[in-house]
Amino acid sequence: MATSSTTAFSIRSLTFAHERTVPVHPVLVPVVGSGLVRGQTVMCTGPASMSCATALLVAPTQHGSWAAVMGVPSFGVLAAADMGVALERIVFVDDPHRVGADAANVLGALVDGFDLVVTSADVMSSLSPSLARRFATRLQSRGAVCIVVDDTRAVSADLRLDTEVSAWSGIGDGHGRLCTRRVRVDVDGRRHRLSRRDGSLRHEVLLPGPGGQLEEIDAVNVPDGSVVRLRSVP
Amino acid sequence: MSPPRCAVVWCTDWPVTAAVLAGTAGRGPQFDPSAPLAVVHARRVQACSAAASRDGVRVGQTRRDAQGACPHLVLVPHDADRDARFFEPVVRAIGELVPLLDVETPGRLLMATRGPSRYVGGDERLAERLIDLAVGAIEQASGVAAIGVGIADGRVAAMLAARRSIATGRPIVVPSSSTAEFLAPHPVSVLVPTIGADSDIVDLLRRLGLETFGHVAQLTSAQLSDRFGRWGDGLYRVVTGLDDTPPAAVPPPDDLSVSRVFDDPIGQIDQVVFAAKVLADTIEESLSDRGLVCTRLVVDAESEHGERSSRGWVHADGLASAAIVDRVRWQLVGWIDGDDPPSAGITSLSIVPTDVRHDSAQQRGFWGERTQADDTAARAMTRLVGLLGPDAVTLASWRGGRHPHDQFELVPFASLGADDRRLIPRPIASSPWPGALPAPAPSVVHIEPRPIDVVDGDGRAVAVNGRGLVSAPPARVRIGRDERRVVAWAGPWPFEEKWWTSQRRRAARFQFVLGGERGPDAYIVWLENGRWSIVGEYR
Repeated sequence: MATSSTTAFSIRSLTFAHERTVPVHPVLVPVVGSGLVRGQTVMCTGPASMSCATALLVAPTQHGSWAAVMGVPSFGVLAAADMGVALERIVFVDDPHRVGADAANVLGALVDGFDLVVTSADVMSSLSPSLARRFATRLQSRGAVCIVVDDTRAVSADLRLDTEVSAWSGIGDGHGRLCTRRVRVDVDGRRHRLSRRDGSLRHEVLLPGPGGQLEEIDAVNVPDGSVVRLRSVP
Repeated sequence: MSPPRCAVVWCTDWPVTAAVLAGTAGRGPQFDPSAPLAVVHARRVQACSAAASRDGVRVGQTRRDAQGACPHLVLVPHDADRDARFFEPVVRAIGELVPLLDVETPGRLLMATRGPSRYVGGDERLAERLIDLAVGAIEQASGVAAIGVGIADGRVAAMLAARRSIATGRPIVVPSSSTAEFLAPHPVSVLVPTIGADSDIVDLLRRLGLETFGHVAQLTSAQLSDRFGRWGDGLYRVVTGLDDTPPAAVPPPDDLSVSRVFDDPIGQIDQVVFAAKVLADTIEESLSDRGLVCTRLVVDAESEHGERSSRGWVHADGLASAAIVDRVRWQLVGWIDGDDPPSAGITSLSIVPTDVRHDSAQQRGFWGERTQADDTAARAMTRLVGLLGPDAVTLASWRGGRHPHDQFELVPFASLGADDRRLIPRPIASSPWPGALPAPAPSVVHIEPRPIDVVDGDGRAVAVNGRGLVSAPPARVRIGRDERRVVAWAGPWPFEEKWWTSQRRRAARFQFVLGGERGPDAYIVWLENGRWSIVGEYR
């Protein structure tokens, strides 16, 4: 009985695995749910893969999580800043193979230190299968999220965000400028809660919207070319 | 509006006094109060006795420098619990006269004077009583203790009055009407011990020719804010006697107080402190969710026999979780090891934040106040630098420029902190950079531009003439072996930069939308020296 007061402190409230998440941008909530589950691998594919991966970084970095971008030298920093990513918590790391360092140690340090690790399909496919497996296991135990840009068979993604561009607006034949892009996101994945019931889930967003941010498509944001229906006023 | 009148009782270099008191109480090595003594913490002098400072020992000096200045200096290790424990009699003695008092740190007490002054008959009488009580409480260390009492409008003015009163040996009461005149001659260097200013900034003020509070007060709040940000605004408030507590103090929300009742009375301080950690985390979390920070709180502990210890703690910069836990421990150490210890174990502990303010001045920066995630990331980065080399781990710092790859530069993590290298955040309300293409920016920026061929409907290469006109509308683009149709295009937006140097550059920028299997793809394309290349992609 003498220890009951101390044991009371050591008991933590129970959390389920799906409650251990990192936040997502409100516009993506209908697509991926309330958060990215820690320990999972997310793959962003299709013609808007990089924008999609960047959009996933917005909410976590704003909430204090750190992200590492490994082996993606072409990462558009300005686009990320426009989208709302907190750049002071983004670290850019060279591909260990390019520097000639031990990839296993580098991956371990990344997973230990950062909540999100963004990397490219090229980097992941250059890992040996055993190393990729060890990476996935460590991801699980540390509760980090790995975001892979573009498709590769080297990793088995828990969640796939497949993008398709419907239209660009604002640009014409020799006039105007790029303004907004309608992107359709298909969600699929072996652990996705909606995948079992409905197959995959589709959602259309503006990525980027007029100011470079991720935005919902509504009556105000309908890109050029589509007709805005006028509502009758009672 | 002038700040409330308060009194400060300040025992400067308290850690030294506490060490001497510990020696006479038989709870540590004995020290001769007249010998040069210095308390060191983390290899730096934290406090030193009058004899030591006569020999040239200064607070903040490294241990080695201090020993160099004074070879027979007696070094005392730092012990926060000792400081708290031996300050308890002072708090207790003054608490007999002024029940509502706040402990800022061991060694410094703050109280509002409105009620007590009226009770004893004026500020001067109160100041005399305070110094008598404080000196009486620590008679054993009378050789070393330096106690000052100051009463003035606002915390900072009262602190400075207390500081000055140590030299004169008489308490100082600054009349309400002359706060500004009292503050004006103080050198800016006293900002370091009083409001905890950074000595680098104080140095900068002096280099700017602002030697005293009076000099700084001649500037406007706007000028100081321009140069020093929020800190400048706070500085203005301090030097003009408006006090450093921002006026936007808000009444705390009701549900902030946290408490814990122990079923089994706890006799060990460590266990209570452990419980306090949980409570402090709860407070910090609920406050930071609301964007608030706690500047004053009351810690209340009760023993099984109903004895209570209740004490207010203030800190103008705000109390984080770790700081709250420290306060709880100091209070308990003073209570349990003091003259009037509880006769039974502790059964309840409560922490009640009584003053909160908006957390706007406490933006957590890269090297500023840090979260656990920041620490973990910093450790990981250090490790990655070890594995990959110093230039392989970088962070983005704003530089500005006309092209997507110019606006941010990647600064090696290893170089941060050296030569004042810091990350520069993008200005929040910056006007667009002249000559830059408007948002959206490309999500992929090629470091090595990818060469392409652009042809018109007849298969001839498209060119741009000196007047910025295209020879013919582009129709098809060849990227490697692929040939793709131009769906839409815009431009050219010509630029010419650094024409005054050998790095002169001249190019025409275009945006192309090319037809693809999975929808249109957009690119930023440059035509430079007759060669087309892709510099950015919207992918």
